Amino acid sequence: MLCESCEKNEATIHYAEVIDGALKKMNICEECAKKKGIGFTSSFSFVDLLGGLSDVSAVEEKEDQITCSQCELSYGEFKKKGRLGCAQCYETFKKGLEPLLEAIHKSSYHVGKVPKGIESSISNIAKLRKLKDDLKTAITSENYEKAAKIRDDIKHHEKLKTKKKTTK
Amino acid sequence: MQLHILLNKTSEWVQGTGPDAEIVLTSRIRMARNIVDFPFPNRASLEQKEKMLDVAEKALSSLDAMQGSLFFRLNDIDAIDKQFLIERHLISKEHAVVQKGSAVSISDQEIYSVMLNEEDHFRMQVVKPGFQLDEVLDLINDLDDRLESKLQYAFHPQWGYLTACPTNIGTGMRASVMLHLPALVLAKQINQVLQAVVKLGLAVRGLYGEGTEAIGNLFQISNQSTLGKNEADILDNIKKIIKQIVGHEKNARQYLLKSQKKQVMDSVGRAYGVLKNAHILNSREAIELLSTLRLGVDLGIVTDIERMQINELMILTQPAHLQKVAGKELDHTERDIVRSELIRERLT
Repeated sequence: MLCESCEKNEATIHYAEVIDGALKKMNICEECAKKKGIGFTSSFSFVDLLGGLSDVSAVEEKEDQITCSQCELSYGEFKKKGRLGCAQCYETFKKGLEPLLEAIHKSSYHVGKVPKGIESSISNIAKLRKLKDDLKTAITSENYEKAAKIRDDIKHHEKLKTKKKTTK
Repeated sequence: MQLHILLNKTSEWVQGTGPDAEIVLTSRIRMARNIVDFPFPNRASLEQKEKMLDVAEKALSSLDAMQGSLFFRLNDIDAIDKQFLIERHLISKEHAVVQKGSAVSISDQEIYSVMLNEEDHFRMQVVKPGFQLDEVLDLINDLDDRLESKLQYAFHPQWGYLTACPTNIGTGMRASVMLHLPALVLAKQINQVLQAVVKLGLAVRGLYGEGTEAIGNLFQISNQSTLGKNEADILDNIKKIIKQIVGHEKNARQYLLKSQKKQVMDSVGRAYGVLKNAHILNSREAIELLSTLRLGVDLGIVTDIERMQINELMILTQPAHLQKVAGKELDHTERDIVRSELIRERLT
């Protein structure tokens, strides 16, 4: 079935909408769904995902033995249970967790509420992240003048970050 | 036991008021928080968990919102009381199993409740009747801010609030809405709607959350992802989708009234008849019949009872509630009899 909106792609999303009190069924493609402002993430079971991770190769076996210095949980145990043991685990297992979190949440960065008192340092980190994204876009679009300016901004913010660290 | 205090009060959400209350029973937000001082509950020793409870009790008791609240350590209460708290959505099934070193704090009118040492150190919850997620977010943010001023939360600059399960990190926020969708079920459109909801990144669950089936045409819809969007954006997404579902349910109700009025009146009438006259009712049958009767009230087919009475019965006819009302343990045959008595008494 073709998308009823663009009439080009295969319709994979089937939904119903209420327009002026009348129920209207729509069959559209993902691209048009996105254009309509409907965000798509598919659902999956968390345990399935972790199960997929336990395809043990030699490298992974080594990874499984990494142990948290604080609570002594090993990465292998985490994969079995699906639960971290303490806040420190997130640092200890950062390498393994990064792709996992990306897969679960389709994102790797928190953008919500921040505890008071650390707001300024967090907003600096967030700003740096955005600048680095902007830099990439500027370079790919060959806007080198803009890229140079962003690079200077990044340097400035990185200085701020290290200053904060040393004054701590 | 202090728990019977709860029995004599109905939770605020039972009133059946609030925006879109005929379809949206409750709006609920839960926030997961951990503090830096202890390992997460699954990794903490009993001693550490007890210490965490002391810290939490002290912090909570200093908050205005929790003045006059009840605080229970779960190993101090019996199985019926635990089931009672589950039926009231004040603790989770998982929390009831943990027992040792875990507790729950419940504010006046059950607006706030905080599970302690469930999967995380703190699982705060706010529930309001009807469709009012923004108001609920304001309330829970306030509680969270105040608690945060007393404790140091585990927070990561990149990943936000840290939780025992990676599915909850970031905002640590799970917003859920309990919907009563009898017309979509009757019109056989429910699967289509729920499949779309799942495709849109939301989770659909039954009455008691994860792993429970939908009974009484009640569906709980909540956000899956907690990282990468701020709290308000997560809510906006849910609100948009819930509005659509509410629209579908309203349409389906109109459609039923127009094209199948006699059939609907018949089902409602039969449900009412059985509820008023049965002498043995199991909990599943009771909730299914109450759901149909509720539809009848919402559609104006039944006019001599109010929605609130039905909401109340949906709560009170659950197994642990019946036993609390009776003041003694009842086996399931006895419960089915007592349940029918309670319903007959309330509906005549």
